[in-house]
Amino acid sequence: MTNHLKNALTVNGQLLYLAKCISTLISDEAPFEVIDESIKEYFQFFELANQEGICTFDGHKKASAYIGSTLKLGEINPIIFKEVVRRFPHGLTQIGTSSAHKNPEAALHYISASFKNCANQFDYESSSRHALAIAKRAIHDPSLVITMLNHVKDSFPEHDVSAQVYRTLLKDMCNILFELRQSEQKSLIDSAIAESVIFLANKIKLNSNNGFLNPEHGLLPKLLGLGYFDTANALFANFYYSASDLDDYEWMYAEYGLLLSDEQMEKRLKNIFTDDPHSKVDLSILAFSAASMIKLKLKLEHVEGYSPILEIFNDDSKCYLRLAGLINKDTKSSSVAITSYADALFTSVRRESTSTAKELLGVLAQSAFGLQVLEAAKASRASARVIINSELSL
Amino acid sequence: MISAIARVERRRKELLAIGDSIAHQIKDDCRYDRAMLVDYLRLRQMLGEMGVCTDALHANISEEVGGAINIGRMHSQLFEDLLKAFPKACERIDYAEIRMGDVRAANICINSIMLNAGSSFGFLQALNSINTLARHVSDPDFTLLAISMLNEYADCNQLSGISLQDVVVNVANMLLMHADDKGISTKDMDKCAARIFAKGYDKKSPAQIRYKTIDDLLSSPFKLAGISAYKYLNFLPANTDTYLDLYQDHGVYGSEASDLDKIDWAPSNSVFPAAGLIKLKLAKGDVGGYSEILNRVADRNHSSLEQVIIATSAYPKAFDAAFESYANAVFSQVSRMNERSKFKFLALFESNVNGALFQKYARESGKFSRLMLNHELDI
Repeated sequence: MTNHLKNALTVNGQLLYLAKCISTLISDEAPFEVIDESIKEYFQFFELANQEGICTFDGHKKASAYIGSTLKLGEINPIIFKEVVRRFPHGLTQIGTSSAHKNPEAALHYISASFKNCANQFDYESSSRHALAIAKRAIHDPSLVITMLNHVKDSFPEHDVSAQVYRTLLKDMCNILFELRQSEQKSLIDSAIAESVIFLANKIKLNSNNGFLNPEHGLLPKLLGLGYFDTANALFANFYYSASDLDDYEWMYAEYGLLLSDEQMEKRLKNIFTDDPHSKVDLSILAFSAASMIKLKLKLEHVEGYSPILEIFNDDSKCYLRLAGLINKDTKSSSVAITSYADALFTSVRRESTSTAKELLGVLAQSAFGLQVLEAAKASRASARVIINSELSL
Repeated sequence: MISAIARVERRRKELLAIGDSIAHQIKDDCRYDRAMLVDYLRLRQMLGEMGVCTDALHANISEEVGGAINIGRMHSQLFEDLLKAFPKACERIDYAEIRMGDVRAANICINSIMLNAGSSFGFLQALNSINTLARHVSDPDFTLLAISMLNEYADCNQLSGISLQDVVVNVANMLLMHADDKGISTKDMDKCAARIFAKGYDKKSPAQIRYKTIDDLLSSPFKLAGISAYKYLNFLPANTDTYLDLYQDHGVYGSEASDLDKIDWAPSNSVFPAAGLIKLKLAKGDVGGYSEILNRVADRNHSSLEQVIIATSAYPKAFDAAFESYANAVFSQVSRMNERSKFKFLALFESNVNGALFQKYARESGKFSRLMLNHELDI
């Protein structure tokens, strides 16, 4: 055993001493070769300690934190910074970032390193927030911001990150991009906005609108207001949104002209239902969304596309009754659209028990629209048979 | 496209998987695949070169490896290499599992423990682990090595008084563990232990090694270590006969000046040691030095002085020079008191077993005869 390594406390002290030497050289703006030599000396000692079987965990951590605490992102040569950050990743959390705008290249290294190490140094949320904060307040180069945002996107882990984090990220990222819209690289920004929005919308599987529709601060109105119609439409189509109000889809159509295709509606309902097994979306809540979609379709006098929506509820007969009850209220449409809806509804109910059909007749009989649906159903032979059978068993 | 960060994440998971496999192999078979350990170390180094910090992950894996090790069943060389790769593992090893007499494994363990004490785990935890090892290996050579390594550690580090106290108690217990071993060389152990006990004194530690431990050491083959402990360490006597018993049973006593320095003269703490030292001096027949003890007690509290005099007044057996010296010191204190206190003190001798000796001394001495006469007239 060498004298240096007589005990671990001495090793820790030595590591800290060498770290102080490195910091002094950096602050004295010594040439890179000199600093590199000093870093090598540190790691030679570090390796020697490791070979002896000395745990350098605490000592190296403290030494790295010391080096980090003496670095300022805006005032360091990017090449030196890159090397220091690579060798002392534990010091990342201590680095001063307020002057990052003076040194975009170093800031980029910083963000890249913090994402590489986020799993065991900071948690993911603080890493991404930190990166975004730097991007937002300090860097005015759109291409750097986009590179950073790509880091954020690339670093999305597959699990262990809450929807809340994604949601905040989506909002923050877009806000940074919105502020950069006037730059010369507008087309770059526009495509970054589109990519970011779609990327994050795909990650967020929520069953409420989470403020995205808020007329004042919501992302969707903002995108539309700034002229990003395609992106807004794509967000609307990809965003796993379950209506919280029966008029939601109608309102989005009336206010922003947003209308999902039949396939998109079906996909959304199915995705909410199947893609998020942890959230256990209640079918009766899903029925609310489906009713909202059907009401909008009826209002727009769509003559097809009702069956795929209704078939999602095959497993739960009570949902048909709930759907029919929700749609009944204040709905108006053309006779052709009502017939199409009636056909789809009775086709689904035919598969259910007679008692369900009986209950459906009771629900429909409660409103003028329901009676119209009943009349339309009688015109179809198959539906009429359901009605007659039900009435006979009354 | 797989991003750099995703690659890092994949590598990190790979590192964790290899580490887990090593830990599981150790747990199941008490051995591991060396190639796997090499892979692990290479991967960790590679991640380090990429600027990825794996310290926290490595620390977790090390703890898992440590928990899986059974030192009683593992091959020494495998064990040694493992501890070099996972030094933090030494925190979690159950040292009680070591086989009796397996000095090779014990040496590997203590090397790792001492190298990592303070950085990987706390010194006191390290000390406990060493004690456990020494008890279970039960080999005098290992005990000697352990004590000498603790000495070396104490030389190189600023140990707190409390840590030193623990070292001293642990070392004393390690020595006593071999008290019944016939034919072991006590010389080296005595020397080694004396060094560490001296450190306890040098650093002015509040070490309070119990009288029983010193008594046990003095009764054991490690008498010199016991004398060192007695000589160098503070201890709060359990009763006023502590010093006397150690003197009468083992013939040991400290130097007067150092004994006085060691005593905590706070009123609640000084009565037993002060009375104990006076009894010791009387037993040895010391003439002089009593006033110094009584002055220190009296400086703090008259009630303590009263207690010291009561505690010692039954002891003098003969009217010899030592008693005369002590009685002179007592009456010097009494004569400085106010009338009420004087009366109270002199009345003590009325009811005391050996009060007559004190009264006789006072009456016969030119200095205190008037004091005694006045007291008797007052009565």
